[in-house]
Amino acid sequence: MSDARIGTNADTDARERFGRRILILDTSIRVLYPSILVLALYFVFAGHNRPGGGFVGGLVVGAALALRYVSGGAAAVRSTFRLPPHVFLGIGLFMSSFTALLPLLLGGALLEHGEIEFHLPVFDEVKLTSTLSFDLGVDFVVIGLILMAFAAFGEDLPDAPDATDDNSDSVAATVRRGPGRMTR
Amino acid sequence: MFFLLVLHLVVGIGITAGGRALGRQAFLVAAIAPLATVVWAASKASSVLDDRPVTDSFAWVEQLGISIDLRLDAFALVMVALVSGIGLLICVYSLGYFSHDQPGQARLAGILTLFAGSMLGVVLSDHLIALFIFWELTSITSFLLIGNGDTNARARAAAMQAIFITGAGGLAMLAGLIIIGQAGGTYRISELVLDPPSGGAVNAGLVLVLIGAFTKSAQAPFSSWLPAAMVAPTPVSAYLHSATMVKAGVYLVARLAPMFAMTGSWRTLVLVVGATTMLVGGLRALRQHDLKLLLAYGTVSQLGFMMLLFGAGEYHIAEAGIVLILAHGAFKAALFMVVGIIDHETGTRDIRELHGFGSATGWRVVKVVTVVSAASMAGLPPLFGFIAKEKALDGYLEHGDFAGGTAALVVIVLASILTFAYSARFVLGVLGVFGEPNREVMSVGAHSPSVLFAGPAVVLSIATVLFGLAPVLVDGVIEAATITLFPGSEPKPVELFAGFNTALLLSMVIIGCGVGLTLLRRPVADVQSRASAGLRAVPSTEQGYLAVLRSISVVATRVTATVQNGSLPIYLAVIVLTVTLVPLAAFASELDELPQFIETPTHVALVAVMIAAGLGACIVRHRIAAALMLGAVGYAMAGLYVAQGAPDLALTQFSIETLSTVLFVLVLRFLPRSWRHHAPAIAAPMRIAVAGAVGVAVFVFALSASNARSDVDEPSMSEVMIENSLPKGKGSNVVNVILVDFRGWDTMGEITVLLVAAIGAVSLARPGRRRDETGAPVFEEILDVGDEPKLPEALR
Repeated sequence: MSDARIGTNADTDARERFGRRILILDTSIRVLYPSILVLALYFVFAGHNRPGGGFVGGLVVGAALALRYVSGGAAAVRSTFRLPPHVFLGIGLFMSSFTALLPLLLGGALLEHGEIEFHLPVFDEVKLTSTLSFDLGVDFVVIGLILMAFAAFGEDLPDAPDATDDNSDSVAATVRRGPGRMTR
Repeated sequence: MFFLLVLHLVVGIGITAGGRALGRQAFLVAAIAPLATVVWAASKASSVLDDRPVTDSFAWVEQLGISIDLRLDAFALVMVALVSGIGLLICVYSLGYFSHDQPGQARLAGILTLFAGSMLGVVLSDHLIALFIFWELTSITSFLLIGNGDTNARARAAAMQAIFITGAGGLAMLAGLIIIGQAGGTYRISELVLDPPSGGAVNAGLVLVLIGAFTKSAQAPFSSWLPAAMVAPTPVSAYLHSATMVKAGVYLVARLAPMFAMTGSWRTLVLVVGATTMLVGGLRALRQHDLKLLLAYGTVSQLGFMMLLFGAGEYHIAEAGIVLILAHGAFKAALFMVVGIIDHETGTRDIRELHGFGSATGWRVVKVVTVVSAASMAGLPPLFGFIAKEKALDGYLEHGDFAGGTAALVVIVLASILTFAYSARFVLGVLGVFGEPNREVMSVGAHSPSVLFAGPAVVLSIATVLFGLAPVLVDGVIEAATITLFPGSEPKPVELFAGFNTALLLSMVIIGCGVGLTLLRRPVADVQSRASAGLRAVPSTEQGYLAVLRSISVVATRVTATVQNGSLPIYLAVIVLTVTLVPLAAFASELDELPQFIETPTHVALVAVMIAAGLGACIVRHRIAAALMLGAVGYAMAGLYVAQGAPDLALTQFSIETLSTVLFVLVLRFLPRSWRHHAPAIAAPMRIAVAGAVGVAVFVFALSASNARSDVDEPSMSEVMIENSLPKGKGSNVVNVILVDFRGWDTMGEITVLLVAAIGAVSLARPGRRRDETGAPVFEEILDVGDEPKLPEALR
């Protein structure tokens, strides 16, 4: 418990819930985190032909963020992206609706999709359809939603008593105060 | 014709939105709309009077057969002259009334223009539904105009009262108009008049329409809002609450009476209500000290008079009604303008505080206007009001041979005596006869009104005299309007002197009794105040209105207390039982054969995990443990998808389950670790029963839904989608193609919902925690990451 009283409340609280810092967990997260992001990218890009898609891609990014939360608390999640959560939401919705509406401007039907094929050195023949940008929009909205959820519920109460004071029961007290604040 | 309505709309909105810089000059801009209308109507007058109505139509909701059909016939022309003619004068008068720029004047001018447009719509509409829409627009604009002084609690209360009463009447009227329109097979007045429907439903519809007309025209027992509305600025009162809007109810009765006067209880209802209103309004006017209230009750009385004339459905009498509408518009608007002048220059409208005015020319003119207009109201020859009264008496004498006709005539005579008396009271009040010595003298030496201020009232008085002396000027219009209302009728010409007949004798009786009542005003007032003390026991319409308001509030409180009792378990139980049990019967009847439940041994294992985790979630006492158990159910479900060969679903399910468990845990941190069971003993079995019902319903639903299309010949939707996925959707993952292409529009909706949910979750979770110095929740902080994210100590 004494160890848990160092640092910010969020930090304390995260570790209080998930146990003390675990070296193996922290180290494996460092390896896993980028790999999971690559997996998420794969899901988004391959989604049209194989299992995956924008929604799943976003959720997988969310799972990666959850891992970061476990090791670093809400601050780690916040510092992951430069952009604030609502910008993700906005970009996502804009991309999807733009992709959906663009065909109307070009004289097509709503949500009509086009495709282009070209050769790349490593990937050989690549086929890109406009559904990809639609799916990316979905992906961004999901990521934004998860970031918002962490922003909303991930942090501890800012005006809660500082965990560094000598009240060893402070974390438990914070937890007990929770419901009252939630319903205020 | 439609362009005139659009012009009112554009000018009105323009002034309201951007007219602040104009100040009181806004009224000059506002005058454009009525001026254009008057010019246009004058240019069409000859063809309209020649029985060639001008029509215009604008398709609106074609699917429902609703269009804005406009029709300018002779009766509408009379109303347009009233609405736009007086509207024009009111705009000029307002320039004098609002002699100093004050905030809110431009808004007043703008809404006044919007009102004028709505009123124009009412009188020009040939379609019942369009008429209703414009009718309600006049209610709404009237609400805004009465409540113009929005810092005055009385003004707000009066505005609410007006819109409550006229709005409720309007709703009743809508129902009535629909009944009539459906029964008649057309909503066009010009077609209904040729072949009016009848029957029980139509009778009920007519009663509803009459309720609407009575509320709008301030008939008993709905009249309380009109005197209360006198809190509005005087130009508004002069325009809406004497000359135009309150005549909308009369107008509708005038339009419908020729078709329906013989149907059901129409005539009884209109005659009883009109007679009561006319008498009660006259009696109450006689007791007022406030000049404006005196006129307001006088207006109530005159509106009752018009109801008696139009409601009978007899064209000789209705012709008198048309004369009265015009005469009343002229004298009542002029009198209101006089009250506005006195109020503006002296600061009071109480006749006990008026002690006569100086001999300045301006005040002399005002006095002449007062005497002429009040004399017209009292029915003195040779003024326009006299002709109206004469025609009314003659109409009832010669053609009032229906049930209640004689009673109506008696009421008209009695109430006309009262009208004479309160007209005299008004004149004597303005002249300062009632001025009490102990009251501060404010009127003598008051600044005399400018030409612009007094001019419009003078114009109206000139019309009163001119049309009285030479009724031949309006005879053509009035006869044509009568023929419009009653096709095939042969109205008598409008004359000042129709020979020595009974009507003239009755007029003399009225004038004689009126003079007597005026001379004996002290004893009469004593009798009235003694009688009114006795009448206190009977609730007034004002008290009735308040009682209705109170009872609505009481009922609402009780209903809310019962339905919204604040217990989450009860809300939840009601919601889930409704959504499960209601469709359950339908689903269960579709259930004919049970499918094979177990296809591979894996199913048994997965389902066993699910059941165990589900039961576990119910049993464990720690919240977070329960959340984890629910997660286990979800993972097992994902396993089931894998076993059935749906990797996409499984993938989504895994990710969703992971994240929702994490979020669950995040939220549960704020709640106590475990449940404490305070619920009564009966709660547990009830919860189990509800949960069981939900489970059974979902099970049955899943079974019958998967079988739903088995007996349909068409190829199943899923097969169509699988076939088209690659050729049309350019993707071999059919689930994704459905999401982004076949059902892409659904996905658009879903991500929009996600976005709203995200913002909602944040605003639910955070504002309680951060507040600025005023105590308002701070929302921006939550959305912004902030410049310096706080890193945990360990990571620095």
